[in-house]
Amino acid sequence: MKPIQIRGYCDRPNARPGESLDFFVSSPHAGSYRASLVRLIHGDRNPAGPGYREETVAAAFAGDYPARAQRTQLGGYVEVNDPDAQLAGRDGFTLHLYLWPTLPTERQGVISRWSDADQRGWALMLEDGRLTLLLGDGAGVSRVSCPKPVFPETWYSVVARYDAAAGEMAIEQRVVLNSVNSRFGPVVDLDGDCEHAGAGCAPAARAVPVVIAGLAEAETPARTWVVDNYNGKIDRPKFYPHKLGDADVARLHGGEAVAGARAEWDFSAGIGRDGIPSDRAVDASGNGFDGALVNQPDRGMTGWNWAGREEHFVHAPEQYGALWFHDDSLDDCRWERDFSFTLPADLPSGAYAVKLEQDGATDRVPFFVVPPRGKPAARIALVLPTFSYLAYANSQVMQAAQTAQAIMGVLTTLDSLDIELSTHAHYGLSTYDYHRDGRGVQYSSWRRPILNLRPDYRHEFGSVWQFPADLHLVDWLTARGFDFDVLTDHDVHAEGAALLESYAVVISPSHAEYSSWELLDAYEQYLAGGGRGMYLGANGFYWIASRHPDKPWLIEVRKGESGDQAWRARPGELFHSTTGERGGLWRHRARAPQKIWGTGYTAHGLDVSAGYVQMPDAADPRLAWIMDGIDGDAVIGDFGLVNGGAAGLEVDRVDYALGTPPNTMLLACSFGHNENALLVPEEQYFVYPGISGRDNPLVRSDIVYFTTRQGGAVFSTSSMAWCGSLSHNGYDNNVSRMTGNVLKRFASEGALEEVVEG
Amino acid sequence: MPVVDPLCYRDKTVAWWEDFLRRRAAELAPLVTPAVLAEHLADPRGARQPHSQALRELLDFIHNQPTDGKSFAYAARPYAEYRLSVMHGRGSPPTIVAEAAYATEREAVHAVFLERLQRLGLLSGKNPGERA
Repeated sequence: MKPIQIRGYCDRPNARPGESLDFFVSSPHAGSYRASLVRLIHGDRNPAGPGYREETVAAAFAGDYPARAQRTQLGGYVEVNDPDAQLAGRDGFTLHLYLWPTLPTERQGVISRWSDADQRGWALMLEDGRLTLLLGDGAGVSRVSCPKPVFPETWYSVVARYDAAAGEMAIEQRVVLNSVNSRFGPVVDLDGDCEHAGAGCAPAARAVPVVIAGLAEAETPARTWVVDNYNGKIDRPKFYPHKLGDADVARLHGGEAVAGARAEWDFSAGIGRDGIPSDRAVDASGNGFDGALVNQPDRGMTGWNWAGREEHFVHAPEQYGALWFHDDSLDDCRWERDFSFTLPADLPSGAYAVKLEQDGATDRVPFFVVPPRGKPAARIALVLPTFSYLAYANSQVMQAAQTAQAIMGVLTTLDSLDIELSTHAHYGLSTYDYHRDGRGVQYSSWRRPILNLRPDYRHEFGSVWQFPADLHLVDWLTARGFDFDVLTDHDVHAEGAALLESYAVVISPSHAEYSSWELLDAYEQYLAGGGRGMYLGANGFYWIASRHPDKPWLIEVRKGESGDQAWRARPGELFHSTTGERGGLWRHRARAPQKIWGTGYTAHGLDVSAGYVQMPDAADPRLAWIMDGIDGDAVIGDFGLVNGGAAGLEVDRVDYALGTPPNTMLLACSFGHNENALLVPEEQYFVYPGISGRDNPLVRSDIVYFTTRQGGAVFSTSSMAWCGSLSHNGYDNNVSRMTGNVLKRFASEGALEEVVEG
Repeated sequence: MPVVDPLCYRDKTVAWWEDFLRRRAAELAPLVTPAVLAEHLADPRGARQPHSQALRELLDFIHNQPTDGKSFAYAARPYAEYRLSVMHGRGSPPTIVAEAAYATEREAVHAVFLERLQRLGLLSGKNPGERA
């Protein structure tokens, strides 16, 4: 198997001429590497297609750079600076917090002011499944452990005390389980309350921060590295600079306030209607020990006192005081920068990559150049769905999910990138994966090497997917001589319909699955205002995604209730921390894709694709320009690079009840899907036999067209495989013909005939 | 007697999984015929025509096996050289279980099919459902 090699990333996906992008590179091998700029045209190396195509572009940054290995900090935690050692506890202390561990049998730091390299300071730990307090003075380590191990996903109130005068330390835990806050309920006769005490040495005050959900590896002035990261929830941790009495401890266990905390972190502080999009952990004591969240722990999570009556943190913020930490979360690799690239003023819009080469190993770090503000260079815009690229970033489903091969209907083929991903955890996970502790991944970041965002990557699902699939369209546009600008979801989210209105036609490629409210607004307003849209994909505009307001390179997704779900948000945890909005499917928030594009997700058939049969509207003389050059009885797209047909992978259809415009013209429907092509869960209501492509007429892709106000129109082909058929037979085929007919007409200045009845 | 120690409890459904595996494998064993094997080798995806009922049932069964220990086709050189490998879960590199190389993905995927049948006792016909 191929070992780890040179890899890189950049700070954001999109940039305009004149702006600068930062690049970060790591290699396990010393020496130097060469960096250059390439424009990406076609990535799919399938020998039946055009093959790999890129063009080298001169760039000022191109050249040789020293190679170095850069370390990545994985795992979420909170770091609290304590330069004056006010939280060092040498004169005694009391810690209190609520704990809901997910992997309690592993050694983990819960809260600490501890240097693990020399075993000095204090640390509340999980060791051998038991809560343990460590005190280290340099000469030795004192340790007391609760005698009863903790159950996973069960809330405990935990108190640890050190009495400096008496040289004693103690730890105790109380189960604080209710009907809804833990894995099981009160019917279990759980006996988890216990305590233990012993002699304790004075903790040494090392120059380390307080770490919530881990341990400082050592005193390292430049940057703290955290080890033994915790997995699970922590709620309301507090530090008192003395030993509290038993009466006060009893009050803490009961959830009552006890005055005198030197630090009291309230993770719910800041919750509002717009969520809690902050990396700040507020110290509610008033002493200024605010903490910094690192690697995006899950926010807006149910706390120890969640009563189950409210499901949105806005309505009961006091019950959402938990952060859920994972030892494999990652919001930014935080590598040191290798070089910057200031985009020249004349760099054309397009898909590019920085190519990194070292000793025969190559990596390509993609980014997207959008035109200067207010200066479109073409009448056609291609919107690359960077939110969806992020949602899938570094997915490892085929290597982790038992059912994945059944879903795909194939025995999987993996390549070296897949192996590198699953073997080396430091690239982080996608929103299709689970954290090691079983929680679905809800945040995804651009600031890391994204190995499945490489132009020639054949996805673990068995076909090109997302960016490499969208290059099918980039190649076709290029080969057919269409001038087009590239935009990204990030641009459209930020600038809205005003950005799209610069273009006669806007194209959404193979799989724009993840959308923000702002993205839907932009397309809807553009199309309603006379814009022309081509939706050349499927399962688009499906999941609710939000962009972090302060970290635009990071998105949030919470899957739940229904849909093609890789995971399901737990009860009370469906609302996005970064915006406060409800997660899940847009169709469940009255914004089904049918309302904008005429069609929406209906089925997936990921092993074999099909072609389309024409419907009566294809012969309507008002649409003859769309069908020009295509025989009236021809099957459309029974060929292609994606499983042999233009209708495949995931497909969409008309649904008037979900908002397909009444004046929609149905040009063609796909036929010939197999047993592994199945209705999606939200279409099933009850499960029943007969939901496959062999016997269910809802398993199909629809090609539709409708006109909107002011000369606007929408053309949707409703299949992820569509663009994979464009290059067939040297680009001379009926998929290419139909797409070209529509694009030329949409991009022209001529008016479109309104198509309505009556 | 209260519930105290999580380490004293185990997932009792493991026994059912093993029992189900044996029972289902026994039902499927007669479906493994030279004709079905040839059908898979010729067209592992059913791209030219839908798979037979027997092959579909076998594929559904082996697709759904647990991930750890699952074999897969490794594209050592995509479109040129494939090998047979086995997964060991996230964080552990997979192993190549045979030095045999395949020129096409189709042949490698068929080798995966055979390996999984073998591992589940379905190729030999002896003790179906007993993992090798």
